[in-house]
Parts: sequence; structure tokens; C-alpha cells
Amino acid sequence: MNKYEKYIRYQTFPTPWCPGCGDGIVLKSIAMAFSDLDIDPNDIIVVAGIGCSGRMPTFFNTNTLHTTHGRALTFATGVKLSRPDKLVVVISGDGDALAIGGNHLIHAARRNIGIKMILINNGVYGMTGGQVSPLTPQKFVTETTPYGNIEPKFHPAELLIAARATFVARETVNRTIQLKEVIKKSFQHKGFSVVEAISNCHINLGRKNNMKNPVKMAKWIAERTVTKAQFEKMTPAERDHKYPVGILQENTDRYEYSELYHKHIVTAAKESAKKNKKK
Amino acid sequence: MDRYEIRLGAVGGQGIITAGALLVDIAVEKEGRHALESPTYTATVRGGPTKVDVIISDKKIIFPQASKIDFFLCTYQKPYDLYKDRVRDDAIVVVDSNLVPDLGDTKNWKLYKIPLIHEIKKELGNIVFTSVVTLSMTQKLTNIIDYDNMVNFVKNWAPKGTKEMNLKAIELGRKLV
Amino acid sequence: MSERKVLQGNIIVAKAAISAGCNFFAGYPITPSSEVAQYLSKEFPQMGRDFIQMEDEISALGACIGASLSGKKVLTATSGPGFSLMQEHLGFAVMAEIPLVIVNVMRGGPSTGIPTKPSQADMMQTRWGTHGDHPIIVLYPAFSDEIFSETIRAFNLSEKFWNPVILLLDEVIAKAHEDIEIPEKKDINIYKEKVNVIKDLNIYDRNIGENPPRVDFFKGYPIHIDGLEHDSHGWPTSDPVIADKMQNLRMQKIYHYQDEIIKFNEYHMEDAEIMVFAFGVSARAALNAVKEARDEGIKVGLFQPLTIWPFPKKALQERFKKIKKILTVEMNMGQIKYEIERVSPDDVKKKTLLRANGIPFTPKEIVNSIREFTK
Repeated sequence: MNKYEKYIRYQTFPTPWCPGCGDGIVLKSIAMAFSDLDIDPNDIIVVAGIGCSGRMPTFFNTNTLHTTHGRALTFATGVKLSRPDKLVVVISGDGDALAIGGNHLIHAARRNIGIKMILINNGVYGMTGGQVSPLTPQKFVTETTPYGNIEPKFHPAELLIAARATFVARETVNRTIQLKEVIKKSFQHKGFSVVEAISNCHINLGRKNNMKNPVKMAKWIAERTVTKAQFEKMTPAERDHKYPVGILQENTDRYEYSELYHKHIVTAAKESAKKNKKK
Repeated sequence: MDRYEIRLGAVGGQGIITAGALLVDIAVEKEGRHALESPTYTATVRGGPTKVDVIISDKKIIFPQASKIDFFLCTYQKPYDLYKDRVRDDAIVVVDSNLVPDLGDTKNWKLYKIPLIHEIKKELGNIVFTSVVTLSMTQKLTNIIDYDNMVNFVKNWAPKGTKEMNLKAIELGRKLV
Repeated sequence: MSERKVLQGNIIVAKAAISAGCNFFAGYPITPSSEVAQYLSKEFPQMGRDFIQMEDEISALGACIGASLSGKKVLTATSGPGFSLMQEHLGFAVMAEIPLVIVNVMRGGPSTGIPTKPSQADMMQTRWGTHGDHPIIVLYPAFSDEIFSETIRAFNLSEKFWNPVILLLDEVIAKAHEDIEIPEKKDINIYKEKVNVIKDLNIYDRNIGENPPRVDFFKGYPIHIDGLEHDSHGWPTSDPVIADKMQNLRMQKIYHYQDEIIKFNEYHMEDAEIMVFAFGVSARAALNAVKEARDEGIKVGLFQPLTIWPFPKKALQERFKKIKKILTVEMNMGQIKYEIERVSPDDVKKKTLLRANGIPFTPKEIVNSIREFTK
């Protein structure tokens, strides 16, 4: 048995994912990050919403919670505030995190609550059969954009940075070592963190856009992957279809929310109560 | 007394809400009776017509709203028009004579017309004391709470540095009626 | 010694929650319930307990569920529109069997209604608001002392039955400042859960009528909690045999213990020929009305349910053996009246007094209705 496998719950296999899906790579990368950091499974909770990504917690041999569509961050907020000492991981898809759950995403970022989010971006609603998502590239054909997508996609990293996120990174399922490493770094960050993992849905997105082969889709992702340095040299038009990878934002100055609450608010409130008693 | 109903009406309303709260606190904490106070809550609490209903009783209060009002005090025309509907025919009614010009049907009310706000400004210099003046007038006219209990309670309640002024406010309330 | 105080209804809820050991509140401001949150935002940090204002009611209940699963005793407070937003998570809490208490200080509707006039229009939303078949417990106090005791009871029932409990309040009572005798600590009964030993991670395993072993996260077992139908491990399943068993377990855990959950007050019912059925502020008006009607020689009594759901069917059917007239008073366009029709035999005459314009019934109006009913 490999070391990381103690974090895998084989009883619940098989996964519901299609052959060649990138979700399995993300699953393994997270387990390997747990393993590299040697965290007690009892001190970990993995939370997710609905969608292909939503099924992922079931396969971790840690505390796991499968919640409602788009709301995993809200459940995780309750857990983190209650148990600031625990590693709270949220796994989300692009529809889950940025459409139905968009409000929770920006507020979790603003609060800087110490939740570690892995945002799997496959650019489509996979589980429901391939409808357009807030991260579907323009012109792409999906089940609900049969004439091509006319909406621009979000730039999740920019959105998160504007929402005052303290750790934002991006990797792709093609770059497994880097993905694991950046997930590990995000776990070590104190506040809210998001790692966007660009993944392939060749079945529900690729098939309609001449990429039904997973390798073809992986290549398409690779063509769009650039370093942060390369990205910065590009014109805005060139940038639109490129994904800079690596750590895009890291700010260690701000307090994590539950730490701020328990160490500062609670202390201040207790002191104020004492003072009032004396009066 | 089985049940006595008081309604205070104003605009803005912090003064009467405080007066209502004081009446209820004195009745319960100083006199061990049952009391209930319900202020109207609308988005217009600051600036709009406001009322507070107070019910004081020796027995447990069953219906929590005023339905046969024994005492009605109102300082502005609009709340007067809005809130006089449940006032009894034989109630005691106090209005600000400057600010409630149009009384309409005054039934068999025992009516007091007093330039209340004008007097408070002139004598105390600040309408923040409307609450205690109103309390004192209500006490004198209804005798629903004991005078000494009121004075003692207000002395303890008064925010730092305002005790003397609040006692003056009590005196003004008594003088006006 | 117990203390006699003047307290606002919403503050009584908050104080009772503190007494019950509630240590987590997540909410979103909405009139007329906001004082519950405001009071706890000040008190909880002083006690080292958790308070958070979330971005909406959906996230408020989500955070409550997360905290409850992390071993906290949780509360949220809202009003009709916010309660509507909570429905999906209410269903989650029922499905995953999570104890929590939701206070709903009702206001009129639909939509934003008449802010924020009193209403009793969420009777059915509390019963059937979330989708799917589900057991629910709804309590509805009317007097200040009942607000305290029913809040405590709400926490106890939610912990005992592993189910969300909803506490309904009328705007009139929640916003009023009324005298109350806060009971002494020793007189407050707090339900203490048995600590169950888990075998093989079968966290939902039990027989019908039994409570499941309570397991929180971080207790050394890698448990899985799911909003999907699940097997005894909590792992998702669509097996019809397992689904059938789990549905029954959830429904029966409440219905099996109905007699323990259902509470009501009766006034002047000994020789009553007419029964008034009313709750919350309507019950307080009705009690005055019943006394007045009695003074006129009318044999009338009041049945005031403190538990709305499950509905006190058995108790009412017992009364219907003798009483052949029932007057239902509710501040809505007619919700509980259907429940009365469902549980009463055909030979019982039914009359209703209904209104949803934001003005509570006065005793006088109810007396008039009782008088008409004698004819």
C-alpha cells in the first residue's frame, strides 16, 4: 500500500466519474498532499457540494460531508468556526462554486476563513449532462448553448483577488506534481485558499467541441497553460484564452477568521464583561 | 387593578418608547405586578408616527395588545389621528395643544391640552427629557404606579450626570397637569 | 432564586438558548427576529461561544449544520422570507438527522408581505416547506414563560430525536416587552444525550423507534454525512430496499414518540360545548374571549396547542367525543382549519375566524364569533 492510500476510502469505490476524467487525478493529488504533510485523518474534514466534484468526499477516509448545491463553503464555515484546529477542505466544481455558490465564495474570501478550497474547473456542468457553466469558454457548444456560448466566462483568480482572497493558485490535471505541491502549500496557508484545478470533461464538453478524446482535451489544456511570467508579458487579447499557473496571490498578513474571532473578539468581549461587572 | 391600558403616541418616538419601558419596569421590578409594553415597529421609527402600548395588571396579562385604552397621551397630529381608535369613551387623554390642533370627536374624555414640547424645551432645554416628563404626567393622572417608586427608580436609572435634570423633569410633569 | 424581569420575547428566546447550552449561532438580519442575533452577538463571545452573521439565510443554516456536526448546539433565527430560503437546508438536516433549532418570528406573505406586521401564515410552510417526505417538530408558545420553556424544549427534542425543531413566534409576542419569571437553573431540564458506541461505522443503524447513535465529526471515526439517501454508514445509495427502510426510520422516530412531543394547554374545557382552537397571540385573545363568553353563560373552552407538528390529532379526537362545535382562529387565510377538518368527524360543526391583514384578532371579535356559533 502506498502511503497516501490510508486517506482513500476504498469501500465506497467505484467512483461515478467517466473513464479519463481529471477528477481522479485531483482526488489522488489531495490524498498525496495529506500524506506528505502527515496529517491525522481524524483532523481532516472534506466537504463538497453537488456535481461530479461533489461526490469526491465519499472517497476520502477522513471526516467527510456531502452537502447541497453550491453551499459547501457555508457548511465548512460552521465547521471551521467550531473547530479552528481542524483542516477543512472544500471541493467544488465551476458551476457549484461560481454560479449557484458565487455569493458564498466571495464572502468566504472576504472573511478569510481558513477553508482550503479546491475548485475543479472543467468548464461545464458534467453531472447533469453538459450544460453551460460560468467558466465555459465563449463560442463553445453545450446542451444549453447549441449555437455557441455567448456569455464571457469569469476569471476566477481575478474575482477572488478582488474579493480579498489571501491565497489563490492555479494548476491543471496535466501537471500532477505541481498540482499536489500547490495543494500542499494551500493547506499550509492560514487563511482562505483556493486552488483552481483545470480539468477535462471530454465526455460532456469535449465531445461537442471536437475533443471527445481525453488526450486531445489534455493537449487543449496544455496549449492554454502558461507561466505567470509569460502571462504578464501578453496583451489582453492574448491573455483571454490562457491560464497562468502557479501561486497567483499569497498574502500572509491578514488574520484567519476563526483565529481572529476566538483570540481577539472572545478575549475583548470577556474583558469588557469583567469591566462592566466591576462598575 | 385587573388591567389598565396606556397608549403613548409621538413622532420619532424614542421618548415615549423609553417612557413605556420605564412604566413597565417600575410596575414589575418595584411593585411585583404584571406588565407588558409593545412599541410599534416600523421602518419609520426614526421620524415617523410611533406608538407604544403599555398594559399593567395585578393578574397575568392575557391579551397582549391594547384594545380598550384607559389613558392616551399624544404629542403630534398624525399619530393622534392614527392611534386614537381604541381609546375608551371615558378615557383620560393628554394632547400637545400646539402640535395636535385638530381633535375631532373628544367623546367623554377627560381631556388635558398642554403645550408639552414647548414647555419641555423652555424649562429643561432638551426634548430628550420628554420620556421622564411623560412618565411623570402619566403617573400623576393615572396613579397606576406609585410616586415614590417612580422617583426611586428614575434616580437609579438616570444616566451618569443626568439625575438632577431627570428629577426636574418629574417635577415639570407634575406641574403641567 | 428565580428572577422576575421585563424582557422582550426575542430576548427570552436568546436567554433560554443560553440556558439550554446553545453555543453556536449563525444568522442573517431580518425583522422581526433580529434581536435574537443582536443579543447573542454580544453575549456569546463573552462566554467563548460562537456567533457569526452570514451572507444570507441559506448560508446561515448551512453554517449551523456544519457546527452541529462538529459538536455544537446550534440556533438560528429568521422570519418568513428567510425561512423560505432555509428550506433546502432544512431538508438536508432532516435527511442527515442533524439536531438544530430554527426560530421563525412570522410576518405576512407571500414574498415580503406586510413588513413587519404580525401573521400566523407559516403554519404549513413549517410543515411542508422543504421538499420530500419528512418528519418535523414545530412548537408555538404564546406567553412569555412559554417562550422560555418551549425554547428549552425545542433544544431537548432536537437532541433527543436528531431532527430540526422549529419554534414559531408571533411578531406581537416577539417584539413585546413582558414580565417573566426566569426559572432557576436547577429547575431547567436539559436533555443529556447518551453516548453511543459506534460499531463498524454504522452511524445510522437502528431499529424503528430507536434513536441513532450520535456521532460528531473529529471523534476518531472517519464518518460520512450526506444529503443523499444513504445506507446505515451514511454512504449514498439508491437501493430501493435501503431507501424504504431509511425513510421509515426517519418518519417513525417522530411519530413513535408523538405522545411525548405533543403538548397543549386547555382552558375551561371541563363542560365545554364549543371548543376554540387557537395558538400564539390568537390563543391569548381567545382566552380573554372564552372568559367573557363564560360570563354570559356560554359553555366554551380553549384548546391551545404548544406543539403544532406533529398535530395533536389524538387529543382532539378524544375531545370530539363530547364537543360537537369547533371554532378555529388563525391569522391567515385558512391553514390549520384543513387539519381540523382532517381530524374531526362529520358530526362536528366547524367554524373559522380568519384574517391575514396584519391586525391580530381582539377578544371582542372572538366573543362575537362564539356568540354566533351558539345559534
